[in-house]
Amino acid sequence: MSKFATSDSAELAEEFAEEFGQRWNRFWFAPADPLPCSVLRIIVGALAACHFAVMGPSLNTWFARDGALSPDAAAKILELSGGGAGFHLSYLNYIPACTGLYIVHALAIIFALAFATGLFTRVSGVLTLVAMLSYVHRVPQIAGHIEPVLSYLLAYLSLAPAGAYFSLDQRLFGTSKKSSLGTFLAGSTQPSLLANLSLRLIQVHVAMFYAMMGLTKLYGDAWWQGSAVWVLLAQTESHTLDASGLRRAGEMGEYALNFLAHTIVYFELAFPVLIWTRLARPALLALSIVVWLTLIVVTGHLLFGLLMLATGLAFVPAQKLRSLIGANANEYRPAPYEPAPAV
Amino acid sequence: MQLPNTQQAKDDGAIGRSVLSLLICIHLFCVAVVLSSNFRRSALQARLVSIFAGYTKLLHFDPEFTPYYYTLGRTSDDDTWLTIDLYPSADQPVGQQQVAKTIRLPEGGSNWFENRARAFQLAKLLAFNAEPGNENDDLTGEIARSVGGWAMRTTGNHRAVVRCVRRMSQPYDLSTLSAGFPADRPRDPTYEAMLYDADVWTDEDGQVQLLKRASRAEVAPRQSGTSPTTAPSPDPTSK
Repeated sequence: MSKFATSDSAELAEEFAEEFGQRWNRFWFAPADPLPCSVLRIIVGALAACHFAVMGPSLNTWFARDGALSPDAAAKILELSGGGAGFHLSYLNYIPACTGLYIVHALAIIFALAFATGLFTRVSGVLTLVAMLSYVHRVPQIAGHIEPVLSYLLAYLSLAPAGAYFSLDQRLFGTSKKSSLGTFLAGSTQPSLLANLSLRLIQVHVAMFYAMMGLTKLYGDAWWQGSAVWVLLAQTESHTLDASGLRRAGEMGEYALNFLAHTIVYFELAFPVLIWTRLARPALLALSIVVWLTLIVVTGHLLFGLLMLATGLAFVPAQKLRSLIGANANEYRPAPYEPAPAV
Repeated sequence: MQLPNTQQAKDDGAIGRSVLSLLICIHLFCVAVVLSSNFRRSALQARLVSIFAGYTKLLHFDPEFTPYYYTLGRTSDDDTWLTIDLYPSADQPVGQQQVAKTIRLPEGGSNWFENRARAFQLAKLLAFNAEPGNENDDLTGEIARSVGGWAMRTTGNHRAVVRCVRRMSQPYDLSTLSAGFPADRPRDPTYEAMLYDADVWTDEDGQVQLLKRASRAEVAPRQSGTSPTTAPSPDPTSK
């Protein structure tokens, strides 16, 4: 009897392992259309360029070697706050406030624009990432909300054939398989493992990021009690608009602000779980527009909000994206997935 | 029957997938650990974050303590900034000279972009480490010395007073506002509290010196039941 039970359990475990392995392989290793990566590349590159451009007026104040926080001071503050000063490498540590700093800054913008337009895509992607990291590591204490998101998007999109569509590489080198340089820089329009891997990494990372954002809000009474949106709007120095007029709406105004705060928290907590279900995905992506537009107005994090909105595109199926942007829907034929042995 | 080279290619593919799967798992584990350690870390999380730092910090996958909650409704989440009063002479006390210039961080710019947020963030870091419970004079001194030194260098002055100021926000319901806080003027100085105040000057060797001046004094703008209006009251969002 027990012999049969052991045999059944072993079979069940084997079946489960086989099933899990097949699903794992399908999730990570099925070739995917590179179109979503190309669309994301344009948005991420453009937002990275904007991010660099808006740093311009305060370049000397924050990022010059002789700026408000010198590299030594920044390192010492990191050590004193228990963060450790290691692994913060930046070429900006060596450039004082001078024309050279502006030249280096202009290069960073050019790299980001090259990535957005798909010029030497993989190289410009990596260079944009290096430039972005240099700003972060120069003064980590004042790094903003957008940088951690930009860094993983740039990293994953540099891995992907993100220049396969809508890129200058495509025009310069074509998509011919003979052009190995073109294939290396831009990638091929053929469904590929790298396109899938990159998209999946973005999806999982975005989901984890939402979980982190939602969970940290649970630490504060302001989000539980729904007053967080008002608290942000009531700031006199950092607010984007004067919301004191809302008081005229009395209790109804307060209820509306409470509702917004609750919606934001519930959305951020629901996203990492429900985004994987086909039924909830469209609703969550539609809701993300409302939530991020609200957060942009309330917090003023314009570029961060737009970037988080754009990450939703990673969850839109390639075929749907094709029809949305008017690309030729017949151009892409999904490659049949050949089940592989479980890993 | 499969040809031997086809079988070989399949085996190679399986090995490649196995290696990639392992790398994906390691990467996602590192990311999950640093993201879950964004706010309040256990000793285990802190240890793991420091182990993965070479990868996660270098590529900035670790947002460290970036406040993705934006506000928790605490007084410490209210707007905080730095002001630097500059004086021409390092040898004379500030009481005996006129202010040559006052710099404020942030100064100008738009709240729609990160530049102003950077200055608020630095001021909040200083304010946090100037709070009675978390007082870290080395850290606050390093920030004040560096910012004061920069302000003196860029303006050609030799003495400065670096201040960290916080302005408390008004509640939605103005009837809960404590006495003495004007309802119609949310920028009134009554709402402001000086959290840190230090003299910074350049000595004869050209080194920037610092002497901390004052401790913080703060009054809550909101009423809290029967408690005196001028006493620190519980946070408006607390239960």
